[in-house]
Amino acid sequence: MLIIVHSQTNQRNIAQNLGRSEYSYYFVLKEYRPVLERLGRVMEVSDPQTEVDALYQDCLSRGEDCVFLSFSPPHHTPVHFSCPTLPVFAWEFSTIPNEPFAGEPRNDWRTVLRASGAAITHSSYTVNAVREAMGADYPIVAVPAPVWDRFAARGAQLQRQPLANQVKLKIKGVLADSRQLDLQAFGPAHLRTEGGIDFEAPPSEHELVLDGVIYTSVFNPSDGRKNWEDMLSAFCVTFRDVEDATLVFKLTHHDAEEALTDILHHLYKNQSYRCRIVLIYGYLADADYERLVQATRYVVNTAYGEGQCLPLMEFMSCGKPAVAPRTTAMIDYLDDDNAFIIDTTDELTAWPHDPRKAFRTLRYVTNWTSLCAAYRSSYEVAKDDPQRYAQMSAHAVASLERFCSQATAEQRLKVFFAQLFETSVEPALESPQV
Amino acid sequence: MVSSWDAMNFILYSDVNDSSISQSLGRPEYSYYFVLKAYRPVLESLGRVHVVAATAEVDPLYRQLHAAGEDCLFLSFTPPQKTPDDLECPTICVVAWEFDSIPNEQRDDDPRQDWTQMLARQGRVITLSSHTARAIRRAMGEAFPVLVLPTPLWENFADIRSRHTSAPINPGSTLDIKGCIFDSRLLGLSADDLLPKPLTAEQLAEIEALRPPPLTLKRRFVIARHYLRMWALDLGKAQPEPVHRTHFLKLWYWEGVHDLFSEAARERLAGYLPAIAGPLPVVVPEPVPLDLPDTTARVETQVDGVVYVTVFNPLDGRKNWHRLISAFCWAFRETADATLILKITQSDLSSYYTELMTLLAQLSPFACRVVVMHGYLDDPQYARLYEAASFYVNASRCEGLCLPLMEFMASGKPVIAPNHTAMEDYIDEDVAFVVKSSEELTIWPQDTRIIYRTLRYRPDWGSLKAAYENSYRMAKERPQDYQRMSRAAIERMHDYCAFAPVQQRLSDFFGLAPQAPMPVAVTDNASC
Repeated sequence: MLIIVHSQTNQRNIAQNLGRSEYSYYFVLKEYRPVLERLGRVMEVSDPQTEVDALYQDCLSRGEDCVFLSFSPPHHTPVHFSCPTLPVFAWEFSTIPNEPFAGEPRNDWRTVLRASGAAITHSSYTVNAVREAMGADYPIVAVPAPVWDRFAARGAQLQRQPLANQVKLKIKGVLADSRQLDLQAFGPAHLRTEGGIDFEAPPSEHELVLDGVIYTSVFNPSDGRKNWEDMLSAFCVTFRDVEDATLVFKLTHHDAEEALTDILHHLYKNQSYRCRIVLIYGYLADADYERLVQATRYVVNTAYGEGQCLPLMEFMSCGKPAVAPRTTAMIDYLDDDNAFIIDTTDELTAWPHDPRKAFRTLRYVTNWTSLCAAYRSSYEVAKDDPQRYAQMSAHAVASLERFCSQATAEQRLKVFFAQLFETSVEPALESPQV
Repeated sequence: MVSSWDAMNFILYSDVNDSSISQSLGRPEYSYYFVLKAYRPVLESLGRVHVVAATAEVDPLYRQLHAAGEDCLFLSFTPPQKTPDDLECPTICVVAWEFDSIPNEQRDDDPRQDWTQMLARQGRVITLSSHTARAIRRAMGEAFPVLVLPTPLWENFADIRSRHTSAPINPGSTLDIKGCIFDSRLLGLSADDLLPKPLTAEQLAEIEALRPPPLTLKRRFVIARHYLRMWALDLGKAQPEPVHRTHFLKLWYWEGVHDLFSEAARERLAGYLPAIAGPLPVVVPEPVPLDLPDTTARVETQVDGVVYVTVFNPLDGRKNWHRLISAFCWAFRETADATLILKITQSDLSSYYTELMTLLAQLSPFACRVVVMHGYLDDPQYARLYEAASFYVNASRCEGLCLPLMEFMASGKPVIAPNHTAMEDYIDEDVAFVVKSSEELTIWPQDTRIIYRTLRYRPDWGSLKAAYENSYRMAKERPQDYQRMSRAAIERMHDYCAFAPVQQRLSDFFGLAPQAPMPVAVTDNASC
């Protein structure tokens, strides 16, 4: 079988696209690839318009099965190829777009999903949302990006100690440390002092020493769903007088100033606190990233929803319990034994790519009080209950193995492809009606 | 022993008074005016009341009364940082506040910004809610004398209570207002209209026709001749708005030649000859004026079914009205006989019109109905609004008291509301569908440093939506339960804000006040 793959962001343009919309599809493709290679020949194309159908005709003439996996949201998935085309997409809302808007019929995802006849996503939450719109028997499978194997292997090597002890890492880029900054430089204009961060300066190398109870979150600050404001403010309130609690933000973005300015202002706004906040903007070499994971006691997520959340999956695969809400994709892998669960409430919102911002779907808003409680109890476990911490850590590794190991992905994709080719993935003209 | 009230004088002051209230609608000090008005009859029953127009009048009046052997007390209906701290007359602040801590840091070299200094000097304080009393005691110590005094308003609704029994389903009533009414059923709302319409072929052709012709050599020559002539003859002086002659050189440069230079050369030129090669001024298009309806006439509408009412100022950030409306429209998107009436207490329609209409379009389509009443209601009109309601709704982030909520309850309306801040004194499951909420950080509103110093609340949208659904179900299926809740609301307001208990509390507080040393004189609410 030939599996053609494509994502708009690719190895060549990933650096410029970091933090822009849909950049994470590239990372998903990268994680899928070794598993796909066990199921067939994989060929990545850069221009689907010219390449896909040619490759498909080739396969037809040889009698080889062929499928095109477009790592893109359905409204960017081509539907006019002869080659069977499946979108592989991330989604974190309670409903899928089920009406056309802005003059683009593909914005009604049902149009695309009907034409593709099948699809791949990453969570059972999204499988349910799709079936709600497409019918209970619509062929769609949840295959999370299989990150477990790589990180579990790293995790096994990491020493399991309750507190990090002077972990050092090197950062090429910008490092902002609440203990070293004059936070008054990030206040309102009329009270601001000199001594902020010079974003024009060429990126330099910094050494960061971490110790104590480290909470880490890896995210793109311009992604409006991440809700880092609550993550930060609840941390500063909970650990106002706790010197050995540190929150590390590892930021993924293409522009340092854009990524940091707002967060720095909130470092000012949440004053004063004895805990420590560290912002890392820039590249970490694999070894340094591993040391960051090693230093981390808890991985934190306060997002309004997640299609799967690669960083959370990676840290948990390494045995780091989470502080996170059990919503959307996280329902599939979080529980009370591998995470300190944050309460949420649903709230009406718009599909993110709908320029009308019409209210049509739900997201999940953090209960700030419960986030504070989750920080408090996780800190107590880290300090006083090494046995509980070790249990949670081991359970995190086991849960994530079930959720996102290569074996899980391979098994699910194998069954899914087998069913597809059995029933033929010819575009279904008569689709099941809701 | 209570001192003789005949000899007690209350001097009252608020930044807002009868003559300035109309310009103050929706401003923070605005609620102080209503509190003053509501306290006044109680104070009058206990002594003589003098309302002054300026704080400068307080001390002269005090001296005069003091000389006549009369007791005197200045009640300042303004925030502590705006209350004078150099008066001879004994002063008490009436504090309306909705946060869990009071400002306790001196800023801007103004000691009054630190409320703890102000309150310590005054020695006691009046506030509207137990929540504020707790915040004050946390800063001032448990023994600090705090009087919690809700505004007495129960008696004002005796008429409505006597002629009207609250009904879960409104059989049909007419509401009118001097102003204007927006009705979601008549607005032709559509989310698709939020995007600009794609241009038609004719419009595209028109734009094409307006494009300047290509810069041929001949065209460049025509442009140069035109502007150089204007420059040479200095024709700018004769223009309706006279311009300097170099203006024509600038126009010539930008229209006729600037594209011939490289980017770097253009930058150098702009440096040498800013008057000519400097950037052209950016023309900001005039915003299209809103087409707002007339608000001077009396207009009316009919409502029926299960009717929810809320009264708010859209510019008041505490009111959380986007979620109040979105939860209603989502809960009842297929329920035609549910109506939400928004009575707006903001006189400037243009200040919120676009935001509100955009929200309603984003929410459309929905089968339920939203009615916006903008303008002034006189007493009989307001009475009809109280009577039309099945439920009152509040989804605020924090409240110092919330008069409209109390008024509708005193009229026998069960409510949807959170039980945080001031509402903890009178909201519970007996009278309300209680909306859950989480805390969140916020700033003290007057703090220009904008540093988080206190907490407010974040009502759960999911819980608010469930409250709409549950209240609707009760209205339709369990009228007895509705009646029980309605009676409980009346009862609650009687205990909370009838004249007699408020008067009792006030006289107790001042009866103890002149005695020293001060015993613990914290007065809690009797109910809740």
